[in-house]
Amino acid sequence: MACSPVFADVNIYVNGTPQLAVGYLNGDTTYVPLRAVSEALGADVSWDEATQSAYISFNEDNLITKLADEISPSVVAIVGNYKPEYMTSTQHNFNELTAHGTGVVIKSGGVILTNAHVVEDIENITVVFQDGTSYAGTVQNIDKISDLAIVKINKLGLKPVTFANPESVVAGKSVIAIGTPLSLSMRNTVTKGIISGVNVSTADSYYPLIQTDAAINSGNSGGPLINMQGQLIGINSSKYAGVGIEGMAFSIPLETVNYVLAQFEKNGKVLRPDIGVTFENSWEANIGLPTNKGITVKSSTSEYLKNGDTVTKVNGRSIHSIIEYNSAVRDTYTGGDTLSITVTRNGEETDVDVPVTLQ
Amino acid sequence: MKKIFKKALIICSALLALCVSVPGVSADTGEFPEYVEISFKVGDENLSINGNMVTVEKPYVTEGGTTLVPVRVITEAFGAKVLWDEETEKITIEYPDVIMVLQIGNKVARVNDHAEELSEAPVISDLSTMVPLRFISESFGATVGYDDETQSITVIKEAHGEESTLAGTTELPYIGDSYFGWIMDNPKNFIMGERSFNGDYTSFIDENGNSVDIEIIRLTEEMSFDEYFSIAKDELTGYTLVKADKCVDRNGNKYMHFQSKSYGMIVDTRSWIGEENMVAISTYFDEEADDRIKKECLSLADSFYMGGVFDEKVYNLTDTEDGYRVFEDEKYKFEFKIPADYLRSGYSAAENEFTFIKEEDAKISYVFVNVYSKSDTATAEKFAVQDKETNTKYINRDLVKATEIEECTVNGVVGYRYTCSPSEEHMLTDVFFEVGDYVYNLGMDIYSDENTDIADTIINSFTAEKLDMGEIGTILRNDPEKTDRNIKTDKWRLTMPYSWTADYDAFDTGAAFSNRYCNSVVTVGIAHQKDITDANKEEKLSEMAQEYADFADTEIVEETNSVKINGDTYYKTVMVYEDDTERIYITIYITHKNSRVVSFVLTQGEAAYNSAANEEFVDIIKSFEMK
Repeated sequence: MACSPVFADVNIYVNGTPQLAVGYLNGDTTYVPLRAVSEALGADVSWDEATQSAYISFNEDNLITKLADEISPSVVAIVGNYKPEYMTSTQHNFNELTAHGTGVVIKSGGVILTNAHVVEDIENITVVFQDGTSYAGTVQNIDKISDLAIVKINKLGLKPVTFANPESVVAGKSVIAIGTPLSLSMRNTVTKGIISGVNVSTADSYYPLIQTDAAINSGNSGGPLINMQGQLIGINSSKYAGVGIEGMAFSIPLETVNYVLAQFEKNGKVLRPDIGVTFENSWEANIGLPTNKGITVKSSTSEYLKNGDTVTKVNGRSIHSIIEYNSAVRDTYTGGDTLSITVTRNGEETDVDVPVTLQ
Repeated sequence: MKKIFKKALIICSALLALCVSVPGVSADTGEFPEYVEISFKVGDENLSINGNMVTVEKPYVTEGGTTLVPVRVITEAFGAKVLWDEETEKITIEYPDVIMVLQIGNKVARVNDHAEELSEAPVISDLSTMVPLRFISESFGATVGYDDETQSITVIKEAHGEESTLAGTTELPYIGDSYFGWIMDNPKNFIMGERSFNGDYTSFIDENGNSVDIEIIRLTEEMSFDEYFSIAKDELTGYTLVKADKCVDRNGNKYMHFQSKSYGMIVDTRSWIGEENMVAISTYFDEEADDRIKKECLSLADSFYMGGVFDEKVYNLTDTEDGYRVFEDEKYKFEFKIPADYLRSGYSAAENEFTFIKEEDAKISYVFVNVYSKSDTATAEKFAVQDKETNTKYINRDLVKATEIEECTVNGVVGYRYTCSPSEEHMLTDVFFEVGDYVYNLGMDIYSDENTDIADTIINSFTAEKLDMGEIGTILRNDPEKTDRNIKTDKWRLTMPYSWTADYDAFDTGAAFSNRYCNSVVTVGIAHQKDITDANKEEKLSEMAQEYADFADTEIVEETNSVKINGDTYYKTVMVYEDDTERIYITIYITHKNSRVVSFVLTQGEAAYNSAANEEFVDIIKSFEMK
């Protein structure tokens, strides 16, 4: 007969997400609640009373459904009336039910993340959950450059989505996009694909994006891109999609999301350090070829940099394109009056501390 | 008697002491204060909580950057209830809609039915239970801010504002729009999806995605109810028609009722034909929807009718009053009344330009407000002088009635105003106000028999507040450069005065220009024509001019006569014809040189005829050179 051991609660994390269920340690073995943990992994559990046996089965097909079910309570539709700046159309196609975009709950206290372009042209925002409940929303923070915005609703105790580790986001991994495309009656649909590329540059984005072949359109724009562990890896944006190009959609990666959220928390908006210079890419960078060349100063109001100067590093990080410059600043600038810029002028390379204005 | 009295007193005061020492009693009047504010400096044990100074166990920031505060801060500020389990060291915090369970030393917390990870686990420090401030505050809907300079933390939870959806706005049994004249039952289970600026589109959606739309469409043709019915019915060919009836509402107004099926959706539309507008209520729902849902949508549509009385039982959606609505802009801090039938135009609008237009019988009226920075060269008076000169220059000299620039005072602000009217019905007026560092230009171009009344109502309703230059910045008015442009192709060139813009890039065979300030268009045409000789020139060219005359029902104003320009003989003809809305003047100059026929045609509305535009037209011809 075993004497009663001291059972200490063991926290269980499944794929990085903390679970309500706890396990306990007995000697060297960790015991966990079978059903809770298996279901969190996406498996099915059945119990046979007669043989007192537990059967655990995992079917990859069911995984997507389970993920979608798991994440759906955190995904919302965003609707509203267009602001008067937009002429009202007098003919409405009677098959069209409007949803402006999608958002995802990132904090239980009513904080929803979406695209800036989804909310910037509408007022009287209403946020609608999968179960049909709806709440009035207000835009709390917005940054058009990164195409991200926060909508706040007056509801507590919501289920937020868990953020993945940015380093885990690599090409080839499977992802699902959850959103509210085109018709409110088809709420919370799921599209599946893979990560086609990370750190992808497009003509109109300020920061690099994740490229995916999961279908993203204006309805599920602003919604989450989820990995197979059920974690958030990006916010989908239909803004960058090429017209008529299929199978090529983009998501805003966590590096940008985390940066913008931290800025919203600190300053209410994103303050970027401006050095008073406009840049030009090398022609290789413009057409997307890998290059060692830096970026050239096109026009400058700064006394530290002149037209024709080449910039190859920012705060110690090498950069070869304007997008790389933007992400280097995003990742390395933590405050202060200057940016350290490595400049090549007439063949000579120097490091200059260029003063910045925040805007 | 005395003894009993004393005992009672002691018991009372003991009870009182108990009350005071029970934790969690909020200092505010309500149980859960609607507005919460906590502010303190890190390391300071005195905190301001909802306006009261409270001394607690010192809050501190952990190595990882998490601020921990004694749980008392949470209970005092938010009014939340805290329960402590000695055995498991679990702290349960209760707040409306949220139950949170934290555990000493455990980074995983429970919020309602899910788990969340904390940046720092709660600890017990000197008998006080310390909990993460940001996590709990944000879970209660507050925002946490940190000021680098003063090293202070502020937590604020705003009292929530009114619901923007109709369901939260009114309990009245009916809703309607008195401007367009419709009433229906209050759609209690629906939320308001959209309401357009001028109220011509209102939509409601329910939790299942079914919707009800009310749309007002301006009628451009006069047809009978039966004619509209046939057209509407024809438009539905290709869809499965379930109903196509002519009905009458409770006030005796005729309406059409169509119900059709498409892509698994049922569309039910009822339309009323009024004098100016068609009013239609449409409801869309899934063909497979529950009977209950179908009934709800349809009974809402059934309750819709026109011409009802707007008594105290009806919630009036319209924002119009006596035919006007108030427009206000929060950023530029001005407001004014605009007639209810004007629409907001967004076409290529800059942020500092607000334009409203109305189209009636092909005449476009508009009202605008533009905001510019004030400077030595940009003042209300200077703009008034400049604009009056420019605008009156391009108005028909025979018709223009322009007033002097008058000083007027509107709601305490001095303004400069002038009016120029090409006709009784058509009035142009500009008013310029200076408020703080900015100049506001309120301008109008109105076609109406009541244009004076309308202009006065709009102008007298205008008010503006001083703007913060730091916030708004510098806005310059982009007046076109007063430099003429050279237009050229391989075969010819000419000079286009600055007051004109090119409609498209010029071709060897032609070009077109429009005047910026008035309704005048110049078209240039160059075509090979071999069969014209000096002998038949006059005849042939006059024939061509006549072709224009035959094109519309024109009247000759000036018979074809010859004019010499730069050594070339041009044949000039002027004619006029009646359009739906005004008289259109056509001035043609046509010549033949280098085997080509060159024609210059000036088309103008009557209001622009015989103005500076005509002189500039001749200047364009004079500047023409051909290879």
